[in-house]
Amino acid sequence: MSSIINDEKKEFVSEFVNSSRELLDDVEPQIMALEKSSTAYGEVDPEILNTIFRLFHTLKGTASFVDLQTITSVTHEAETLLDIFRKEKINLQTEHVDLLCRTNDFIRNILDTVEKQLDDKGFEDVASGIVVDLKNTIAAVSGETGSEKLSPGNFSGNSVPEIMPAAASSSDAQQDAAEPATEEAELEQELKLVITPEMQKRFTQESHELCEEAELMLLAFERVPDNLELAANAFRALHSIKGNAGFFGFAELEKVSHAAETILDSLRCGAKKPDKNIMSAILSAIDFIRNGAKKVADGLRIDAAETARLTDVLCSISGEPAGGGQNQNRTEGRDSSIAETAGEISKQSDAQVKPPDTQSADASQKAASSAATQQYIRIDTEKLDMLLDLVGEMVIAESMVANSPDLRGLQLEKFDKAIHHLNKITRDIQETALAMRMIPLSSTFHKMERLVRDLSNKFNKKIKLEIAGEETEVDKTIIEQISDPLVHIIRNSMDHGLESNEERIAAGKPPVGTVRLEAKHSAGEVWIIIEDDGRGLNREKIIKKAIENSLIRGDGSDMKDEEVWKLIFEPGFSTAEKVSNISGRGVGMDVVKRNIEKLRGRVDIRTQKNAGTMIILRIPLTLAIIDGMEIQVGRARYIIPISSIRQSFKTAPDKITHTPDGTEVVNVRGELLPVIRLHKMYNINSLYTRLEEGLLIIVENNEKKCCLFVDELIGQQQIVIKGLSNYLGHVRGVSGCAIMGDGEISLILDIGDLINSVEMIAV
Amino acid sequence: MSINEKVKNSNTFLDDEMDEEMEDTQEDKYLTFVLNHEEYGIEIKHVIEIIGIQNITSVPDMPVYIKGVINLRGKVIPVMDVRMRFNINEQAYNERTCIIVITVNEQLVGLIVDEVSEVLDIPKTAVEPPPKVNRGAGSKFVQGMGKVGDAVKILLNADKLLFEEDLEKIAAL
Repeated sequence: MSSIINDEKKEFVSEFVNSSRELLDDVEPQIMALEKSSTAYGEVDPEILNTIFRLFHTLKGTASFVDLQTITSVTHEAETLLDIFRKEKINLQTEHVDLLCRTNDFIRNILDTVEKQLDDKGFEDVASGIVVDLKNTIAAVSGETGSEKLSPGNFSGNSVPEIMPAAASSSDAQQDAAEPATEEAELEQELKLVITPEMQKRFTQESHELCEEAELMLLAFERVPDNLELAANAFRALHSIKGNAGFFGFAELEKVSHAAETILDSLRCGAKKPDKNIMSAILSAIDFIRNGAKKVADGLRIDAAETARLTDVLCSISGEPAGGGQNQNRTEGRDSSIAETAGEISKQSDAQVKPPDTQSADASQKAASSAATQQYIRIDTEKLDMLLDLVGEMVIAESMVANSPDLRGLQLEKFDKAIHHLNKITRDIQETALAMRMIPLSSTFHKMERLVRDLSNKFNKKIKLEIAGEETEVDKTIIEQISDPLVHIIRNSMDHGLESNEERIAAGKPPVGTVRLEAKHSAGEVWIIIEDDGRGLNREKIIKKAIENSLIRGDGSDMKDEEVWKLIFEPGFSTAEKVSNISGRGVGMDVVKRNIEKLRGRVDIRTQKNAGTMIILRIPLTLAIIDGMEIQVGRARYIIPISSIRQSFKTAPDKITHTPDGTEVVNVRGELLPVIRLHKMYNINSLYTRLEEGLLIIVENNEKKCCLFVDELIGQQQIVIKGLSNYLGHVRGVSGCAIMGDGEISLILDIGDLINSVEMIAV
Repeated sequence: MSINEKVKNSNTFLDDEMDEEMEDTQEDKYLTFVLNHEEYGIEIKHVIEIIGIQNITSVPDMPVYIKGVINLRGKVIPVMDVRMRFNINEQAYNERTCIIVITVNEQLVGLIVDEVSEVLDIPKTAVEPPPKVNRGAGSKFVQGMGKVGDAVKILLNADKLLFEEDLEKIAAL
């Protein structure tokens, strides 16, 4: 090919590329139509066949015009094959269609490169593979019609080379391949696979899922060592990882997963009994793979020393020499050649964009879809959030229409019906949109299994974890926020709550302690319950510690139990005698409180001495939409979440006490509650300034109550929470705002914040 | 509103593809408005749209010049009374009062001004540096003085107008 690359040539080529893409786009549906017609009617539609032939012919012509040898040779063979079909009127088999599609894909991939470097060099090997296949097919087809002999078995084996990510199946395929010559071509082709970032991403994701699966199975297997099926499942997951790693040429990951797989193999046939060492070794191998897959995705290298160390450990368990084993040798050999080729390719492609190899992408896609059922699709969470935002807007818009002032006083029977219908649909859409963000808690819960296992080894306490209601679905935000609190609570239970095995026996309890993790729905809330059968919270100890840390005043003897338990969530609180490396620094439980409050949830504690502790995390189901009560103060309107309202009432002057510091306290059936005057707090000219004229609303947050003084209640409605502009920063006592049916904005009161602000005044 | 159309014509925010081209046409263009009989200008690239005065929900604990928030088609946008930002006497809003919705650092803010005038081309050569003499609270927001014929427009720095000092003030509260 001429080396002069001038503008004219560039123009020709880009024109060629563009028109070829169009042609290929045309060809594909035609091939599909061809297959359909040939299977449906048992004969080939000559019209379609002619069209395809013409398209390939045009391709060949233009390709040779711009001097693209590779494409010309491939299209030439395809054309020849089509010509035979056309003339001999032979029925197409699936293999033939596959082959045509492959040719099609191949040319399409090449085009990207052609566009960049203006020639089609570097693909000769792949091309020759396809040409060989095409020639074989041509020979086979004409052999069928003419009387030349060519084994059809050969042909079908070669024309559709199986490229599977799983090492086992690909090595099987290799063994199955009959002719060494074609095998070589096939292998060569396989090695030429270029890994696109897209594929790598999928690899990482898949490995992550497989690791989780393996881990889950292993932990279950450790509990029930008789169930060999569990070990077999773990084996399969690791086997898939190994296959994928080998396919992508990640030698380190492949080595480690192979070594772990070998152990699992002997475990699953019952040749080896699982013990703690074995399990820990395999688990650390899984961790290694998980991190490795992440590293690879970020383009980092995997630590070779670490690989060697892990492999040694694993091999010493399995009894297999670290570098040895026929099986291993073979994979390693394959592997290094893959790695070499990969290096070569990446060198080659430094100056060019990697042409995506659809075929290999197809293969890994196949694997992905067989791993997960096809009923799921992955969606960008951003899109989901956007949808939820839009649904929120729609709810507002709908209520704007329904409550339009223009309609006031009109009798509109049909309109009302239509609006009612619209309202129902909007609610359904809203629910569906919210449901789309719901994820089962299972993976979060199962992560805790690993935690419990590791910690129980560390503390040297036998502890088992029971899980219930893992299928409960919660909003994605909840999942993100709940993981840390769970870790802290469980750590705490295991460290402080549960006694050592000896103590338990002495106390007449079953020697193995239990931590129970349960999730369930309860009246618009999700309850996540963490329960242990340990020694329970110790009131005296907590009070003593609280006094030491000056968290409370006085001797605490007048405190209610619930108030005492709440102290463990205060920052800096810890009753542990010594700070262990797991818990005791008093940071953890503080995180629990903060994260749960972020979710507008609350924490309940129930405990009984020597019987155990139960911590209930109560989190509202939806985060974006709440039921609110609109109230009026002067001209301003605010919203109080219904969930925090206990009661509203009018009071009489004799129920009110004025303390010297200016706080007003109202007596509600013997309970003394401080009053917050919203008009004073927010500097509003309110309708009423005397408490007995307006309305008092008892609000509660975290079992702290107070009264809000307002002019009047307006009404209850569903509102969509919106953030106040970032520009304004945090506003005292306000958690956000909502757009009301009439288009006005109302601020949503943050009851917790309000109560805290009174307490600060009161203390 | 004809000015809004003009703003839109030179500001195709919705059309990403147009962005680069628009950069050129936005250059040296200013939306001018009146504040206490003085003409001010703000770079057109910041301007999203101009709306009439509407109901403002006041937000507690804000500096005096932050009047509250408005609902712009479902978006909650804080509004600033530019008069009060410049320590000019407050004036009752009337039918000429406008809110110019601008965006700076992806932050939408509405500016309440006495009235909106027009979109003007003021080439860089016609812009003088701001006077060195401190003329009061507003002077630190001035980016330059634009000469249009005999008239002088005070060109504002939108970034400073929105963010200078007031963030600390809000935080201090």
